Amino acid sequence: MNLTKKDLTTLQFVIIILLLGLGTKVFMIPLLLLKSSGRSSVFTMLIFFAIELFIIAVFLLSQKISKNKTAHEIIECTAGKVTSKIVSFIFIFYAVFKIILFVTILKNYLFTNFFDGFVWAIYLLPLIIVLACFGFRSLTSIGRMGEIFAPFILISIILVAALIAPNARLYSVLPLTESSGEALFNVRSLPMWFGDYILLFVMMGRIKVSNKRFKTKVIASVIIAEIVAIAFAVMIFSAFIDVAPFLDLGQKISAITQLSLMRVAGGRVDVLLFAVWMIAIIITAGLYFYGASFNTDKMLGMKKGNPFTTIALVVIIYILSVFVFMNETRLFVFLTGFMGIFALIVQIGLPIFTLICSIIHKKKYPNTSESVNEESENAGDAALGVSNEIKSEKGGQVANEKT
Amino acid sequence: MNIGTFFTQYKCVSEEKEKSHDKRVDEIKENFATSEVLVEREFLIGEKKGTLLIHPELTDSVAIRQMMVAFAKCEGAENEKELIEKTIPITECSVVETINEAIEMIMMGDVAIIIGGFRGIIIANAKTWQQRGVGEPPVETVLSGPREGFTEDIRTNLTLIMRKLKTPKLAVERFKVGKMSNSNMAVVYLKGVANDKVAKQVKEKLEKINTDGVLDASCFEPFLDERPYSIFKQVGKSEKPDIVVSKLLEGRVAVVMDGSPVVLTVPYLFVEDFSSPQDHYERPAYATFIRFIRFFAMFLALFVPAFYVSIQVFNYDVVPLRLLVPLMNATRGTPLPVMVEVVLVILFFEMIRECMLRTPVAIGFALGLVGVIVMSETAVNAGILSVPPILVVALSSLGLFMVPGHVNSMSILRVLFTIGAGILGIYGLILMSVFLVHYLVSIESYGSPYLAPFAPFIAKDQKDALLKEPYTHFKERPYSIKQDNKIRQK
Repeated sequence: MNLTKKDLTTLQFVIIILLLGLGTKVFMIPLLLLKSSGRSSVFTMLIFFAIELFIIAVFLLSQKISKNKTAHEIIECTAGKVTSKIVSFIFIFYAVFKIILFVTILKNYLFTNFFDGFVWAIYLLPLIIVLACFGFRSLTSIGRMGEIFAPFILISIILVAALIAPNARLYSVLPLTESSGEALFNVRSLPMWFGDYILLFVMMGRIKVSNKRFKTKVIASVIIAEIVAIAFAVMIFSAFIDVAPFLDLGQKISAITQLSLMRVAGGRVDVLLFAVWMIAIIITAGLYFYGASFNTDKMLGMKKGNPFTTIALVVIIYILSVFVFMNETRLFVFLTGFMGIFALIVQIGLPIFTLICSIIHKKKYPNTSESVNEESENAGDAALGVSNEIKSEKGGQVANEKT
Repeated sequence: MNIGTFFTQYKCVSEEKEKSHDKRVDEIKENFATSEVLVEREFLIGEKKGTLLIHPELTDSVAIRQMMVAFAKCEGAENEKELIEKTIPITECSVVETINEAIEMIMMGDVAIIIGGFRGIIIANAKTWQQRGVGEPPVETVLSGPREGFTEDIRTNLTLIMRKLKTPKLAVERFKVGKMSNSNMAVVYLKGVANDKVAKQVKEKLEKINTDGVLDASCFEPFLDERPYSIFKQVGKSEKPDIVVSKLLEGRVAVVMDGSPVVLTVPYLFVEDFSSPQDHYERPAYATFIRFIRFFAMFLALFVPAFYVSIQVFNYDVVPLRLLVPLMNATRGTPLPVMVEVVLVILFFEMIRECMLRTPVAIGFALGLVGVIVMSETAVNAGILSVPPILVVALSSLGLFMVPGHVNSMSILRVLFTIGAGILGIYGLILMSVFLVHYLVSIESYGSPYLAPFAPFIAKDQKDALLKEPYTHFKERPYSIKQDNKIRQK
């Protein structure tokens, strides 16, 4: 039995879910949907919400069936090394374009709000270096980072919502069915902007499942993230639906927020708040980079954290971002065209495939899927990796907590 | 055998024993670069010839006189043990077999007693040298609470610890480090509390040291560091016995070094230096309040200069209009770019700080006044510098010194952040913050995450992190640190 090291605590995992669900969607999606499907954007969001819930449900089921095995190990044991390498490649391909998407979103935001006429090829370099660090370090580090930044990101979201809310007129969202055709079309073309929960499969088998409340916590966090994302989107729709044609694909929302509230004299606080949101984008991109790097090492049979694979990925992303997809329209067409369908297949197909492999694996090796570490929750010990004895206050009974 | 033969044989044996005695004395003296370093006093115990070898700068002359008197009264002894028990008036005595051991002990300040006919060399503890008294350390001052501080003598330091931890479970394992310095060190921990693995790791690191000399705990620190090149410290330091004892009670391991008043403790967490010795003797509410202030101060120290540069260069629209106008007026006409200006002011502050540390107190104070007031005022009046950067850097420096343990690392970081913000604005600030946090969360100090109990978030340890709860709530030892026994109080 191959017991994988538990890299993430339950809390860290839940925070990652919140970051994936909230951090990027809240600021990235609303304007995009507003321009493409107007008032019916809510339907698009609900459909993708359902897809993401599906991904989570499949993940939880796969995790339950094969608690101590990673997705890669399950697929390799069940479908063979070649198949696992193909699956790794598919994930890497998906992850690389996700990272390029995030990088482009950041570029748009910076171009609109901070820098006037700058050479992105140079300004991308420090970002790429930061992303590379995610490839060199462990999942534990990323989980801990999430714990540090999550409160700030959540506060920034709340404060931006507070800035926008006074201008929201909920009645202007109606009628919802105004552009239902476009809403349905977006399901085919916009998957690249959704489906971040697919990253959780990289973490499968590496989470310390503390107790029976793990599933409840995960589902609750997903639902909260999705509801907040939709609510935020509806608020933005209601505030800016009338000016949608004048908005670019980007973060002009920031300037509009400020101007619409006539808050120029008060200073552009929203810039600071969106700057904190940038951290969510960087962490999510970093997670994808980690996933890509992890899978590249597995695909090539290399030890995790190999610097050459990280550097190779960095170079590929840089070249694609700067030379191939420098033109945003070209990128948008690619992401909504071929990549849209590809992403949909990955977001639905990969979880199903992993689940099937988990079920087959359990049938083939019934004893190896048993849980070894069903301990009571003791926050923080998972990361310490040490066995602590706690003498309970009643009768000196010793409870062994393996962490 | 006739009487003549017997006396001849006795004389030969006696001569042999005397030669052995003289030979050992000469052998010891030859090992010293200058034989005048050693003082030898000869005496007779019965028929046996004896020699005392001492290092006069390290040995107590009163003890030597007492020993000479005792030897003069002694009629004889059969062996070393009898001499020690019946004659030598010093409690701490031992016997060594080799010349090298004897030399080592002489260099420690002990007396070597060589008796003709005795195989071993008797070592008596007669150490004495001038040392500083136990007083309050200059850095960790308190308004209330004990004012004892460690000194340069390891025995005094161990005594100060043992007086506060009167338990047989206090393990003190001694080592000698440095081929030339032969520095005495002790690894101190509470058996059954501290994790054995951590104690073992520390001991192994000590044993691996192969150097000429280690003169101070700070020189020894890199041997304990997991990342010697990191700008962040990974080993705790304290000059106060009560602080070290509280860390030992939490399950840490301490390293005491002869010649240094600083005691090192591991594992070390980033949050440790945000609490001061005074916190332990204050009301919890105030201690919590002041910790929040320290965290905020550290945040200001790091980000204020960088943020100022960023908004001046890239994002002036972030600033409210009422503040923007005076800011623009104050900075109008200055020749230097904002980033260069702020970095220069930071460097001036660092130079003044260094000057004040290196010069005598009287001059240092005057120098500080000259540097800070005169230079800044004249520079501003001359139009070379503007007021806001000076204000910003002064505020940052104030924040920096609220957490003395992190001054060095934060001083470097604030310069880097300022340069990053000057080139890339808030984008650069964000990237550097992400990089910094990512780096910090990846550090582990002897198995304890560096940013614990914040990352990983350990709810039970929050009572002594940002918050300071009353001691009645500290039922368990910190989960951030590996220990063998979690229960602290019931």
